[in-house]
Formats: sequence, structure tokens, C-alpha cells
Amino acid sequence: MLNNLNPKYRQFFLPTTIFLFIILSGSLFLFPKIAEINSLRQSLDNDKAYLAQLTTKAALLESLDKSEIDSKLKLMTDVIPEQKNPLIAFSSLKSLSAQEQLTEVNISVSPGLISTDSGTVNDLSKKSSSNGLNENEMQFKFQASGNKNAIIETLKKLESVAPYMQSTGVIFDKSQEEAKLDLAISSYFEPMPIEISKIDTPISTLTTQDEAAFSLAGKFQKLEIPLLAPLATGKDNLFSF
Amino acid sequence: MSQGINLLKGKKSPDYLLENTVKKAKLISFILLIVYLIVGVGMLVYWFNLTSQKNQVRQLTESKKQSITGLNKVEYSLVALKQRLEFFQKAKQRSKINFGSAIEQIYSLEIPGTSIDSLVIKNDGSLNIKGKAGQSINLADFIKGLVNQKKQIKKMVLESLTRLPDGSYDFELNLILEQNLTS
Repeated sequence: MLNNLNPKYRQFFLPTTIFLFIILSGSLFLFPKIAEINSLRQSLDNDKAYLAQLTTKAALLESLDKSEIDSKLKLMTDVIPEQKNPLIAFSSLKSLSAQEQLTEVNISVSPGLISTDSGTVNDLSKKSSSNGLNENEMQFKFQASGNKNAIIETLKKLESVAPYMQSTGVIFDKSQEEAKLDLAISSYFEPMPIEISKIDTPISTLTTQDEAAFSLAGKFQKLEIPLLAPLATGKDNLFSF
Repeated sequence: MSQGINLLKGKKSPDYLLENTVKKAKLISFILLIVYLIVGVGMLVYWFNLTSQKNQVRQLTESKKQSITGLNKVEYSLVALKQRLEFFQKAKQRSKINFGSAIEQIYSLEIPGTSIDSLVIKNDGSLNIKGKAGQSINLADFIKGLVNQKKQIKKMVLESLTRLPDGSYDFELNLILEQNLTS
């Protein structure tokens, strides 16, 4: 076929073939490859960023001392209990008033929601208020009488005992010989997280503010909680004789 | 001398223009082919390199994921601790007045001839004082003492003042305390 060509045009056969080869193979192979390389490079960049994120997180987690964190968590759980348990705060109040030799007149508590349809703990801590505290709060009323200075001392100590309690209002009456105290208290709880975040979610260590809060909580006095006498129990198995 | 016509075919003169064009076309096509091959091979190498890097990164990612999963308990404890500390800080910010210190300070201003019968303090800083004063001068001195506590007291209102038959006074004061009255 090549021999049939005019010798004039035969000389252009090779350059033409080369051009055609470049155009054809370029459009079939080279240009698609360029697009593939671009997307591969982009995805590699993303993968590298993701890997860097994971590396930072893993390094951070490896640098942490688990036993230290656990002991800090235990201390903080004493300060902010994980469950809405009025008895803990109740016992703490009793111990505090006994320590200061106050005569308790009345302690009442309004625990609010203590059960949900789903039964999940986190439902109890839905943050509806702006600061997210109201739903994790229990209101107490504490009435006591005694020496003026003992009452003042009780009030001073109240906000530095574990579990953390806060006076929200006080009526102090000293019109009679014995001073009377009528105190509104808030006590808090915070359920443990049910699950941790996604594997790539960045975490941060304790900030200076956190450390300051921890050192403050560390100074809280944990009062001896009087043990309640165990209840008499019956048979465990009703069908045994 | 004889003259004649040469009917023999003469030698054809070469087409220089065509030859030049052919040469140029060949040269350009070879250069293009070489460049194309270099670019093509380079891109292939680059592609292989990227692919192997991607595999390497994937393997590293998997191993990091495994090590993070192995440290799940540490992460859980840290998250729980941070959550508690943040909650504690929020709760602490709510406490603006230490009631014990506030009562102590108010009683420290009590002077002979006056007595404070009751105090009502709320977390918003409002304070209500009810008391008695033997004479008006005692009450004036007591109020003066309160007025001097400018750092602790923002606002003070004498809500009521009743003169009793024995010449003494019942008084009621409403105060707004500074929010940082804590100790």
C-alpha cells in the first residue's frame, strides 16, 4: 500500500504516523492519566492530612498517663456525681451540719425527673437552659438552727465539700437567741458520656482553666457519709423451701 | 557545425522546497515523539510513585486507627474528665456570692445600739436586712458604715423605718451586693 503512494507523499508517512500516534495515544492514555493523577494527588493530600490528624491524636493519647486521668476522674466524680442521687448530697449536708453542731430542722429535696421512657442516662441531662445546668440540678431546702458563727461556718464550707453544692438563697434569722437558717441549695450531677467521639475527632488535653478547676475541686472536702443500716431481706428464690 | 534538438530526457532538478519540508516535518515529529515519550514515562513514574505513597499512607492510617482504638479507654476517661471539669466551671460561675462571707461582713458592721435580726440574701446579689436601732444616731452610724463599704455594696435603699413607742427604731434595708463577694 505504501508503494502505491506518490513518492512525494511517501516521505511524509513517518511524521504523519508519529503525529497521529501522539494525538491518539495522548487522548486515549495521557490525558486520562493526567486527570487520574490530579485526583490521586488530591486524595493523597486528604489522606495525608487525615493521617496527620490520627498521628497527633495517637501521640497525644500515648503521652497520657491513664492512671493519673482515672484518679482525676474519680475525684471529679466525687465532686460532680454521675447520677442524680439525692442521698449523696443529703448525707453530705447531714454530715456538715453535724460537724458544725447545728440542729437540723428539715431537709427536703425535689429531685425532678428520675426516670425516662428510654431509660438512658443521658436523657436526664438534656441541656435545655442556656448554660446547660438546669436539667442537671437538684434543688434542696435546708433548715437548721444553732450558733450564729456555726451557721456562718457551715455556709462557708458548703461550697467546698464534695459533692458540689451551691447556695442559691438564704434566710438568716437571729431575732431569737438561737439563729435560724433557711437555705436553698442546688446540687449537680453529670452523666458519663455513653460513647466516645469518632476516631478522627480531635481531642485536647486539659487546659489551664481545666487544671485550675481541678485544683479547686481537689481542695474540696469529702465528708464521711454515714452508712445506712442494710435492709432485712427475704428469700432470694421464692420457689425453694 | 550541426545543430540539433536533444530529445533525451535531462536529469531532473531536485525539489529543494519539498526536501526541506520533509526534513523539517521529520525533525519536528521526532522531537515531539521524544518529548511525548519523556512526558509519558515521567507521568507513569509519577503515577506509580503516587499509588505506592497512597498505599503506604493507607497502611499507616490503619495502624494509627488500631493504636487509637487500643487507647479507647484513655480517650473515654479524658473526655469524661474534660466534660466534668467544664460542667464544674459552669456551675462555679453561677455562684457569685459566698453567703457565709456576706453574712459575716454584714455582722461585722453591726455597732453597739443596733442589732440585725434577719438577713435574706439571694444569688442575684440582693440582700434584705431587718434590724433594730436603739437610737436614730445608732442607725445613722450603722448606715454610714454600710455606705463606706462601696466596694462590696452597689446600691442601698432604706425600705422602711418605724419609730417604736420606746424611742427605738425598726428598720429594713435593701442592698445590692457586688457579684464577686466571695472568699
